[in-house]
Amino acid sequence: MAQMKFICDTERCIECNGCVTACKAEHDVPWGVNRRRVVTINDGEVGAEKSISVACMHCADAPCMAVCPVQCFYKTDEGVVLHDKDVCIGCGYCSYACPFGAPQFPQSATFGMRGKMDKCTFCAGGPEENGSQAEYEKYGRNRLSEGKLPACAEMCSTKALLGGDGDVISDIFRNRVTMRQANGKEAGANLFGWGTAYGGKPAA
Amino acid sequence: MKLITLAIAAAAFMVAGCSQQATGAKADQASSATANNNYVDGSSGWTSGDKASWDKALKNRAQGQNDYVRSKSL
Repeated sequence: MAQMKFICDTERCIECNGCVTACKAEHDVPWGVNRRRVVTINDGEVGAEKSISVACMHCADAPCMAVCPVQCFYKTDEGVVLHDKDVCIGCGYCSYACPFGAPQFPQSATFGMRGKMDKCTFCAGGPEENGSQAEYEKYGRNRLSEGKLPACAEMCSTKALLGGDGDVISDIFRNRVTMRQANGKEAGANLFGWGTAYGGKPAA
Repeated sequence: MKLITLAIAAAAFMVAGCSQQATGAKADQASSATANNNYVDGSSGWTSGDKASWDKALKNRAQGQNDYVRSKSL
C-alpha cells in the first residue's frame, strides 16, 4: 500500500519558490497563510548555502494529532494527515506541537483574530465529497482523487521536491545519490538535517 | 435548603464541561474514489474506488519526477 511522503533534495533546490506559488495558486490559499515555504541557511555563502522546501511532513506519529483537544485530525490509508475544519476550534495547540511550523491560522475568520487551522493536505482535500465545491472552499483541490500528485512537487522545476509513494520517491532519490557519487560530486545523501546545515554531527 | 440547592447547581455546572465528548473528524472518502469535477486525469487508466489501479496510476505518474527515466524516453 502506498504511503505518501515528500523528500526535498537540498543539492537541487534553487530557492525559486515555484512550489510555494504552485500551492498558493492551486488551492487559492488566502493572504497570510503559507502551506509551504522555502527555508534557506547560510544565505549568500558560496558553497554553503542550502535551501529546503518545507510543509506538513505527514508524520507517521503526528504530534499535532496527539495534542488536538477535539480530535479533528485523521490519517488516510495512504498516511496523509488531514483535519476536519468543522471540528477545529482554532486553539493553536497543533502549531506548538508541530516541529515544522506546518499549521497556519488565517488572520481573520471564524474566531475573529484567528481562524481555523489550515495546512498542507498533500493535495488530498478533506472530509467532504472528493472534488466537490465544499471541499475546494475548505481545503483546496483534491489532486490525489484526480489521479495526480501534489502540485508543489509536480511543478518543481529542478525536481528537487519529490512527492508520492515513499518507496518510489526514495528510489528516485537513491538513484540520484548513486549517480552523483559515481560522477565524483557531492552525494547529498543526508537530505536535510544537522549534517547538511552545519557540516557535522550534533555535539553530545 | 437554598444554599444546598445553589451548591448542587454550581457543582452540576462545573462538571458539565467534563462530560462533553470530543467529536472527532467526519468520515472521509477514499482517495481512490474519483473526484467529482472535470479535472480528473483520464489517461492514467484507474477506475474509481479501485485502490490497486489507483496506486499503480500514481506510481507511474511519480516516475515523471525521475529525470533518469524521462531522459531515456526522449
